[in-house]
Amino acid sequence: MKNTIHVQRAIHKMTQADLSEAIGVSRQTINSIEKSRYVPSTILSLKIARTFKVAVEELFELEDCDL
Amino acid sequence: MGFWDSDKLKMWDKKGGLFIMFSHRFKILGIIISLLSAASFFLVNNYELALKDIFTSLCGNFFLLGFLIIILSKEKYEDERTSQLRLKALSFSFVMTILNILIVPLILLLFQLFMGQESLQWDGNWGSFLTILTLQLYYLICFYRLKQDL
Repeated sequence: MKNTIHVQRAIHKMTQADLSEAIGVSRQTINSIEKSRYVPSTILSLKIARTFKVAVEELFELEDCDL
Repeated sequence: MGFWDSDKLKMWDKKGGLFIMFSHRFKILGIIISLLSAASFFLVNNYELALKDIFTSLCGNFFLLGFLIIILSKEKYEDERTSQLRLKALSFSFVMTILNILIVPLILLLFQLFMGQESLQWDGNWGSFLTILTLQLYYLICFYRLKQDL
């Protein structure tokens, strides 16, 4: 699953540490989500989307291998 | 049926299916207990003491207790990713420990057959200690290795 979290972070001028603090997870978790090594839960995805004020679909996108 | 009552199990699952975990500061306590019991083990074995066997097994138990406290201590930032890593590490250590239990006696048997090493024997008392220690070590190594890769 692809995601655009690093793009959204750049738009909102947020570091990984800022985002992790905003949603209450570790910076390493944000790093592994961005690198697609970890797929976050629905709750965490919604929290990230709410932080950036975008829809979850704008943050995450299914890839061919996920279908 | 106590804990195995399905309603209680469902409730436990709803709460995240986790055991009570200590604060991350307890990790230091676990390390101290393990180190002290390891040091006591060597001291007890270097002196002629009454009840030496009991003291030795007590040292072993406290060593395992220290490791258990380390395992049950939270990370500084505990989140859903660390819970997933804990699950992965637990399943890895579970399988590896069973494989160890199955393979080690075979290796010892081969040693005895081909090398004639009679001193190498599967000791029942130390067998349970080594099994639990293996489980704990595999868990800790796997968990921190996975965490490093984050």
